[in-house]
Amino acid sequence: MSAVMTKVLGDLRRRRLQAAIIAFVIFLASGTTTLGLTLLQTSSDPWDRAFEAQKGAHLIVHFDRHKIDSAQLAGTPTLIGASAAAGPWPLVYGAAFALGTHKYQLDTVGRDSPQSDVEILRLAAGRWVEGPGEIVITRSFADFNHVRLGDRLLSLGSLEKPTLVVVGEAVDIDEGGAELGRQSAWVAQSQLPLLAPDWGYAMVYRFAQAPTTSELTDKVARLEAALPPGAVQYSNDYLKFKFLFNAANQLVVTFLVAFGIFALLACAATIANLISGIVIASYREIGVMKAVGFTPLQVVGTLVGQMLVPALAGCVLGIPAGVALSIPLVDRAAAGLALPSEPPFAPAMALATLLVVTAVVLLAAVLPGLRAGRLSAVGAISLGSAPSGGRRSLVGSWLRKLPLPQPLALGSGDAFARPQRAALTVLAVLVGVTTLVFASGLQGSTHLDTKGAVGRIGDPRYADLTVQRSIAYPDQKVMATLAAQPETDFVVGAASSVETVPGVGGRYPVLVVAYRGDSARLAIPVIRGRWFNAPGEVVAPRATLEASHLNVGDRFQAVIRGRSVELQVVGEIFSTSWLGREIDMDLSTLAAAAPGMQPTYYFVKLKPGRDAEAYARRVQATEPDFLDAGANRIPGSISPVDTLNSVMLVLAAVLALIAVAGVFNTLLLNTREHARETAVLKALGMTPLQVLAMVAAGAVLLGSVGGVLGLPAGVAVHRAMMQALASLLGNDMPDSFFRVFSAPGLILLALAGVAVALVGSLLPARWAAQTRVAEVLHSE
Amino acid sequence: MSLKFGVLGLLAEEPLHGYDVKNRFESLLGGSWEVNFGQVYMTLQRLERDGLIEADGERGDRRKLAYRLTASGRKTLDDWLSRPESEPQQLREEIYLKLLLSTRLADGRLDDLLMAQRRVYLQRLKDLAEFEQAARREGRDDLVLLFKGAILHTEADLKWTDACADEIRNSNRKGVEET
Amino acid sequence: MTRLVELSDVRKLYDGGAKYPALNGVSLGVERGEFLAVMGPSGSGKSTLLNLVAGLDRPTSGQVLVDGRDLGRAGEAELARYRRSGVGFVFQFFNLLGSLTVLENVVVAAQLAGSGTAAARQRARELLAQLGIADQAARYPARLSGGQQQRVAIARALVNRPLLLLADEPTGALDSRSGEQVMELLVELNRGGQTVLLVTHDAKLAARHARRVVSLVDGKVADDVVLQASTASAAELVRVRVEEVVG
Repeated sequence: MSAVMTKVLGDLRRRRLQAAIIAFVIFLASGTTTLGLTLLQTSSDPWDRAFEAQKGAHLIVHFDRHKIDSAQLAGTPTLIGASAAAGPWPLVYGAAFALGTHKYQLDTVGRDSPQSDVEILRLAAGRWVEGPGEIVITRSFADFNHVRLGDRLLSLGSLEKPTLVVVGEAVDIDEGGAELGRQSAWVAQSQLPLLAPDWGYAMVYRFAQAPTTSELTDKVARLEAALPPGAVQYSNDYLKFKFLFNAANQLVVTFLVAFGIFALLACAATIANLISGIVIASYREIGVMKAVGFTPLQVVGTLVGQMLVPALAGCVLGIPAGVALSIPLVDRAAAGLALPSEPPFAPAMALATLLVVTAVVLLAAVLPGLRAGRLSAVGAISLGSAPSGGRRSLVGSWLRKLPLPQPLALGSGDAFARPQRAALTVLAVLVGVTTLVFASGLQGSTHLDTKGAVGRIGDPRYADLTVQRSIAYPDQKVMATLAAQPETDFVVGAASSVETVPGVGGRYPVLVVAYRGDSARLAIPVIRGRWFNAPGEVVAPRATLEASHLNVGDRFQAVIRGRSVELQVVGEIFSTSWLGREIDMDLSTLAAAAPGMQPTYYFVKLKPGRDAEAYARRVQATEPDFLDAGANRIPGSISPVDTLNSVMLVLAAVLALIAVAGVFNTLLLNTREHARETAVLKALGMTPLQVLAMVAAGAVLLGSVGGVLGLPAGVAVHRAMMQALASLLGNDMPDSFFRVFSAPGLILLALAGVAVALVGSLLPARWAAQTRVAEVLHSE
Repeated sequence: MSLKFGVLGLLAEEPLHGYDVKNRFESLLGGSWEVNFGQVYMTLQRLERDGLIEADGERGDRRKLAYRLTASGRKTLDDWLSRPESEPQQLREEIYLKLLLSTRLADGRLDDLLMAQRRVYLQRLKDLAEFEQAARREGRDDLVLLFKGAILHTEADLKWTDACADEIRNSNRKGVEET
Repeated sequence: MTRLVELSDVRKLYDGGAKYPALNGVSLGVERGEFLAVMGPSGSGKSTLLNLVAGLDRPTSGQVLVDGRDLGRAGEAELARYRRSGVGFVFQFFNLLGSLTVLENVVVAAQLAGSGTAAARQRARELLAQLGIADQAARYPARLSGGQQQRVAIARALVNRPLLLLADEPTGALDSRSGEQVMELLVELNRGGQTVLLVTHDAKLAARHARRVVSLVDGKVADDVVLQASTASAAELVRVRVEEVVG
């Protein structure tokens, strides 16, 4: 064993460059993998802890107060076997508030204390409300909108427009960040009814054992069965919140783990190449080792050891780096929960990475290394050097027929002289280009203009302007104002409400959006089928259709607000509000179930070339408080998407580096093996520049092949990942998201593969060009 | 080797009496040089007759005279020294003759003969090597060269013997194949 | 006492090779302490013989016994063990491990035989000193002269006190002076009791240093002669003929 170590250390001393390459690529790959695995393990932890600490609600139910009385409400916990319950709390959906010129919608709940048996709220700043005229907002809302303690919010839910002072900021783990979804707010229980024309009741429940999805579904069913129809308006559960919270993290983790695997693949290819290169260069030496008494296993051991030692060194640096990089990501998640940030401690993951890397290195090294073990000592000693890889390979002779200058033809042929080595190198480049293509595609998809906004309620939808009205302000007045503007092209009104619609969306609430006007002109992406154009026709995203077991063309019975309605699905759309739990229809379809429902959103399309901002200001001026008119701007990017993009850019850089290292290594091996022939060529008159071109030509060829192959691979990966992303959001991806690649863009990316190869070839080409003829030709 | 130039060469160093010439020769090659005074004397006379050497002193008892080189003698010597040897190769090995005759006589004892000859050469190589070493130890570089030459000649003879054996084997083989 | 090396009717065929076997029924014995030279032209089988005795290859038929061990029957691992401490190998082209220093080249052979690193280093230094190259210990083989490299190879071959020292054209790549030094080394080692088996095509070398010369021709032993210490006088060996030039 010590003999093997002696030889390994001696070889590492001599082959410093190759050891450095291995250490470097493994450093990158192990860092990436550790990051992914650490996040994987620690992502759900903080949420779980916060949930338990806050006695979070397993189940939340909103009731229509007109259809249920306090006695029935009090009996609900027993009905579903809850171990603890809190409420009923009065609540208003989407109560409108104004702060200065900005308008906000907050789901407001009346609660006199942050403490409770279920759903404890933690104050991040200030204090709880002590009476009317005070309001507590979420910390996320305060940060996102720069609202401070002491600011005065104007309630727009009634004509009196009462003022509420912000006295506290609470952390509510149930709703995610302010940039993603509507936030909650809390006022004194007595004040709640004054903030809107109508309000409902909320109850929250906890169970002794954390219930599963099906158990939760059962409980809600039990409630619906026991209570008058329509009493249960909405239900939600902790699993969905947890999912939402983790969704962004999950995506990042998926990418990291997937590309970590890619990185390891590329490393394995590089290592395998190195080993076979060493075996070829050391044919005679291997024979001598056997003559001196190394067993075949020990010979393989020296080869594997040369790879393992620098790989472990790379891990020693890479694993802590990966852990360190995970800290900011985990911190963000923890901050979202107002938890103290703890450094992610996942020794099991670090160990796992170490084991995975070791396994990869061993596999990559042992297989070509076995060849060395099988060499006959006698043959090796007497032959001296390995059989040449057929320098004039098939590809080479074919290439030489082309009218290329001689050095280029030679170099191109050389690149494929050893097909295995060429294939592995192409693999490394391919992996790098695939990642680049994917990263660029991701950038494109997530930064599409208004047409591709990752949606939430109230998103600007393919209109120039959106006007929102408060319930207190009449619909006719809005329509009149808008009609009076000369630039108006057309207006589509929309009313939305969250309903539990049996027959639609399974047991979960869906967002029902009813349009008034020529809604087809809004051009919301339709993936299958068509937009509705008659009463009774509806469209919905994939998640809703799947949960309802519906296909495009199906007719079905739905119950909206206690009324039975016959509907037909005519199309599948792309909408990420509520993770795809949405159903769109014309207002007329809803008329039977909700008569008198009127739009609260108005999408306005202006005549071409008109100034939307000026228009918005004018409309706003007609009613500063009860209207909110805003020109649709391209939404700023959302932080999870930002994180995703940044992570992908880093990954693309990592894999590009690994590809460079792979090409570098291959060319190094090639030029060393052909040193003698290069010297002969120089002696015959080839200039250093021509030698450089020769080596570079090989690199360009490898890079081109890898680049060309990487394009479809990258596009396919992009498609797969986007599809996965969409499914996560309850949708199918519309084609527009896939069409983010342009021909010139793709060509550029393929050229990136060539660029990567060229960069990798610089040093070896230079060294080859500097070969000292006499030295090489006269040495053994 | 010819005595003539040996004498000229010795006299080139310094004039010598006839007797000294004989002695010098003997010591020069340490016992390998078989020479008698009669031969030396005759050579001296001939050289003098040809004008290449001359007596140093008055005529009288030849045996007591010292001889020295003449100008002509020196020139002859120099020419000889600077001329490469182009005499035909002297092959005196009896083994070759034996070989020729044995083949004709189709005796069949050829293999054994060659093997025995081989052994002689090998032993001779060993012996000569020891002598060479001894000469080196004594600082007799001239003898070292002599022994080296003998070794190389012996090696050549050995190789020749091996070649003969090879040739015979090959022709035997061919004979066997043809039958 | 049994002989150290005993070959019995050994045959070696290389498949797909020449029409005739490399070794065609060789029976040979080597005593402990002998200095044996195996001679022959190329293709005679002398390298094959060496490889068999070294445990680098197996006979097609026949028996190769070294110190009672049947090399033809031994497994790979056992052969490796044999190569470590049973036999020491010196090649024509030295074949030192280029990435190891001179000292490490010798040490690694000792480590293979199970020696601890400290003990191995000590013994290596002793050997290098004996061979007069102690000052080269930290240098790399590429920087040494041929003669020095060969001495390192000899040290490596000796470090595990092998029963048998095999030398394959050890002076082939050396100038005459270095070559002589190396041969003198081998003779000295033999005088100290080391069994030496020299393979060479150079008859001068074989006859000069070895006691016994075995000649191989076409895979068979053609001759096996023990040479005596010289008893001849110079005159019996060499005669310079003197002739008179007539005219």
